[in-house]
Amino acid sequence: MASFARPSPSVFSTSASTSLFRRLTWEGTVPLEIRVDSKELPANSDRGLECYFIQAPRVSYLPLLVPEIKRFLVDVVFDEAAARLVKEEEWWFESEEGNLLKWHWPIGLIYDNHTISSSIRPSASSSSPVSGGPLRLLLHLVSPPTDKLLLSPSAEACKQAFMGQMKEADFIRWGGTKKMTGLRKTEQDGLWEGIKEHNFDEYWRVASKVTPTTTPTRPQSPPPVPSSASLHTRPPSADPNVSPDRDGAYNVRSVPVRIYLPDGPVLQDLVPPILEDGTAHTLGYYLSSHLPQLFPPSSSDPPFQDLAYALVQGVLVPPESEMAWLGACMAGADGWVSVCVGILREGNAQ
Amino acid sequence: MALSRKQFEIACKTFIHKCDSGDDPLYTQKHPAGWTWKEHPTYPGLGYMARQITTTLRSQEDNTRDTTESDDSVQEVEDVAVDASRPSPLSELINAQLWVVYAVTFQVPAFYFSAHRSNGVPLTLTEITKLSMFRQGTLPAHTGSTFALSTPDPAFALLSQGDHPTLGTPCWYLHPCNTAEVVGEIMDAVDCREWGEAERLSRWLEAWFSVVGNIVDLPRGER
Repeated sequence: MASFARPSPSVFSTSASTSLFRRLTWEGTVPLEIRVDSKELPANSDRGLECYFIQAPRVSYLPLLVPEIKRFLVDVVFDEAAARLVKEEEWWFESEEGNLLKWHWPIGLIYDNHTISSSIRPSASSSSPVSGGPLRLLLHLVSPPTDKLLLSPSAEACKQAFMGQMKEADFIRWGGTKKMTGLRKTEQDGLWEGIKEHNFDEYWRVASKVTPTTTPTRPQSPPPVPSSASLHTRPPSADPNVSPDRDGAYNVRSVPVRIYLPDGPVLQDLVPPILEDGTAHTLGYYLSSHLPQLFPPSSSDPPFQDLAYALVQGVLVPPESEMAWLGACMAGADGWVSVCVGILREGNAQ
Repeated sequence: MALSRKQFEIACKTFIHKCDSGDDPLYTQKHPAGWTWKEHPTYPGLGYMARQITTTLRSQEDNTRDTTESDDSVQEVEDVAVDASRPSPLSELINAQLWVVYAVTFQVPAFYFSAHRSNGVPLTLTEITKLSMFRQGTLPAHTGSTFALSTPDPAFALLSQGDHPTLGTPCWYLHPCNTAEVVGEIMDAVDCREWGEAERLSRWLEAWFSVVGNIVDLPRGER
């Protein structure tokens, strides 16, 4: 986990920096320590080896790790009789502290959500937002709690959940799903294959068709309003510097963003990239307008300090980050910017 | 036409008041009543409507008949005999929890539900499509998926699993993506100049219920 310096728009809005941040986001991995619940280990299992360590891609999903974990358990831990009885569609995961892990959430989000959940627990040792230690998971082999988890986890169900999120992000950005539904079937499948194989090029070859571009215009000023008239009289190819960038990050209707709170509901609202006064919508503004008690508005008198911090892709994000930029460069592979809010306490500040 | 979350709350509360007040005795004959307004236990402004109903699983006869059509005639006769001897087959009772929530992405209400057997086991997608609360023939045939029901060329799956937007619990939901358009057409056809904001919004929700009612057969006439 690292903390970035304040982004300077002139540097961070070039296409080179966009692909750099997209690659950094994509290549992000988290350490997992997976242990089978000792009460559920079949008889004759090798108890000295029941722990499995993996550095998992943030963009991946738990059901995509299951074949690898199963291979390990069957080859190393279980005896032959137990191996024959394995039913991985019954498997489910919880954290060390007993929080159930949603199989349809990206692994990076599960990790960050665990980090912020730890921030409100009394034991301060593991609550630092920059600890970076392995997330300890307990794997249960039977009886998933159906009142808390979606049914029937599988790679195929995960793909459907993922495609649903992609289309919803598309709808949020452009007010329709033309970009996603305009993809050929092989292209849509390519998005998922890219995630399964953790292949940046395969995923972004398609994802770049639906994800907004970052514009070279100064983000502080509102972009030119796109109108059909100007498009007809001045095609984009004629003068790229002044033509409206219809696919630009600052021209979306809204940025797909969700806020995750420790033990709280998931919050979602419309997030226009540009505020009514023409300035760019920043993370600081967004957080202080939705969680003013944790992120007091800078205009408050006397000025209060933030009581919480925000993680995006495991990174402590500065409040002046612009929502449009986050949407174009630091969204998850499902298209959503997941802002995980943790509580700052004495001793765990950055 | 879309609704803001605040408008959604006004629409729901006005609708519930109309159902419960008895000002119009015929109101609950025309619209599905029985809803209560709920809030998240700690975080304000994420309210939704909830209602519990008992529904049934459609009996297997339709499916049996489909699969035995090519069989010999003896089988056919047997099926008919079974049908005749059970004019009202004993159906399994299913507890369904219904929610009308606000879908931020689409800025419209969305219909969420969960369905359990009496022993607490949730229904699979195949079983969900056989619930008698869905009008027959409105849900596409089961596609082999455990997660969502898709139509041949969909932007979104018609029916899918998902987390409850406020409670975070596992649910099924009917996709709300085309609702705004259809409800808008209904509202365009009525004269709403005389109505105040709350009345107009509750009428919007009534129209929404009639759109959802094409798929879900919500019981009427109860409080």
